[in-house]
Amino acid sequence: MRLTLTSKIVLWAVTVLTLAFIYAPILVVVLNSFSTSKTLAWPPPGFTTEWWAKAFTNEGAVAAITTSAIVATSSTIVALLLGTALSFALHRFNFFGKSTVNLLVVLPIALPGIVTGIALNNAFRTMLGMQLGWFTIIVAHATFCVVTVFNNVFARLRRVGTSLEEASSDLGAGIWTTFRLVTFPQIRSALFAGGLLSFALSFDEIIVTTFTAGNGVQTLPIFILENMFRPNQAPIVAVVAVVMILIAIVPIYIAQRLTSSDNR
Amino acid sequence: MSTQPAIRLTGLTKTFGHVNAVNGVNLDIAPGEFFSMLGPSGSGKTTVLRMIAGFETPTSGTVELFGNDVTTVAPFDRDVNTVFQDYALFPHMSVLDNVAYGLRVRGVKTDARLAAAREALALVRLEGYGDRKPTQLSGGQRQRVALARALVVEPKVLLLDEPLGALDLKLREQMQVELKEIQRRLGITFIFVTHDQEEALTLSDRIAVFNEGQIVQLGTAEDVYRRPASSFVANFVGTSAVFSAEEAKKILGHSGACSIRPEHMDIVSGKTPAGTIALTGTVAETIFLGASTRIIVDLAAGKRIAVLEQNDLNRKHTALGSSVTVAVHPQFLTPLS
Repeated sequence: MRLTLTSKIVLWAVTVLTLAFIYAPILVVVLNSFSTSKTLAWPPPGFTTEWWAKAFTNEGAVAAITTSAIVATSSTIVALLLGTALSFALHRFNFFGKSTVNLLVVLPIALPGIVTGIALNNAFRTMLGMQLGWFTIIVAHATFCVVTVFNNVFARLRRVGTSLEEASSDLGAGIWTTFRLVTFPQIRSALFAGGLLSFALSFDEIIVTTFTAGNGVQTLPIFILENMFRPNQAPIVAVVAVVMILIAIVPIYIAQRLTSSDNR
Repeated sequence: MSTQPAIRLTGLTKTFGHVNAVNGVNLDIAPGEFFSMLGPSGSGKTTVLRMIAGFETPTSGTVELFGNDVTTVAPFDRDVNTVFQDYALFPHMSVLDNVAYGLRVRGVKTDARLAAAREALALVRLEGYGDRKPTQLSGGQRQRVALARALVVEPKVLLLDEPLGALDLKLREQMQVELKEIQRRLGITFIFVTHDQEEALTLSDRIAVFNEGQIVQLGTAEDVYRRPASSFVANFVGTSAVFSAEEAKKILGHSGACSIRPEHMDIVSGKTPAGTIALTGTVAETIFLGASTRIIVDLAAGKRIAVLEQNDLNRKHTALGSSVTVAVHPQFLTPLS
């Protein structure tokens, strides 16, 4: 399509403004992690690498990152197992109440986090009489992580259909061989994308976590929220944020590579 | 070999919900036969094929393969292979791995199975395409890969589910010839499902015409074309002028319902040849088809029929609206049940 000079300029301006709006605040966080100001004053009065050194020896920050990584990994594993099983069940079999089950599976992602949080908190403590802690956070996160895996895998199963599996079976492959050689390679990238999204969702989840974490376990978002406005801690929070950005870029890049090779 | 049929279907019935997709099909298919199942969509022919392959379990009835009852045997334990309508090639594997797949899951060593796969690719004239991915092939090439993949495991019976449906006309005609050649060379039983009557007539030793879950006629291509058993067959396989018993009596002076092919009638000028039935009418439409012309005639007796005239040197121009005489050769009138 050919554009006039004016529309080209307008388009460029809109693009630059939008990107600036998204990325300028992130740049500010990066700068703040090197700022000499302890309260993140703007503009930074000077630059130092002091906070970076301190952050990696800060027990609270390191523990919070570890906790979040363990929680996110665990709930993603649970979500991958349950989400895949669910999507196969709902794609391959017809049973009474199928569409209701489908809706119930997807609903948690639409429910406000605060509702899920209160509900799970009540259920865990009063109904089941459980101590809040690792287990309750992981279960709580898994409720919405399942949805992302389910959505990805279910969509893939619908796109791929069953004819490849029929062909495999026709050529003499048993059920497990067919799954290993045909079905799994077809859904692998959907599992990966779903798992990645689920990990990211869990890693920065704060509302449901607040209601299900109890006192003993502190995930990274809770650590950040609690330390953000404390003197001396604010720059460390900025460092943690930058580390999170760096960690986030890698899987996003991989996911993009994967989906583009899928479409080829 | 024994005289046992390659496939024997007995009282085969399949019900989906309240719909009888297949309703009591009995059929014997001989070893080495090129057999077609012809019918409109929804006539049950594909469901019969899927029951032979093992993808569907019959509601009642049995499927026998060379005398063995395989009705409840899983697809991977049956000595039949399928060429799917959408080819169903594995997109994550190379063409060579696709073709070698059946041997791989049977535990054949890598070298042996790749050699066999290359041979099968040569059979379908696709040497040198082994390293490509299925997406890098044209429709006709994918079709051949699907064929090679099914043939490499040396099935006793090959099922083909509308395999040429997605190809354009020229390619389809070319593949028809190749299929026939391959079938003759390998001598295995081909069961070919199609809704294209011309394809069925061209390829088959025998044809079963399906309608509403039942076989309505079974015979050689010539049988089915020359002697359609019902008005459905008369019009599904080629076209026919169909006369009900009443019309036959009034218009042709013939007793009983009957049909006649457009090419078995002539537009004549002047005297009608001896022994033919002369019908008068006016030309309603002429449709030029290249080698022939289809002339639609409104008979004075109140029926519209189509007559096929060869565009040879003798053909005279037939003007729209002109009065003509149609000569019907009574020996070609086919009684209908």
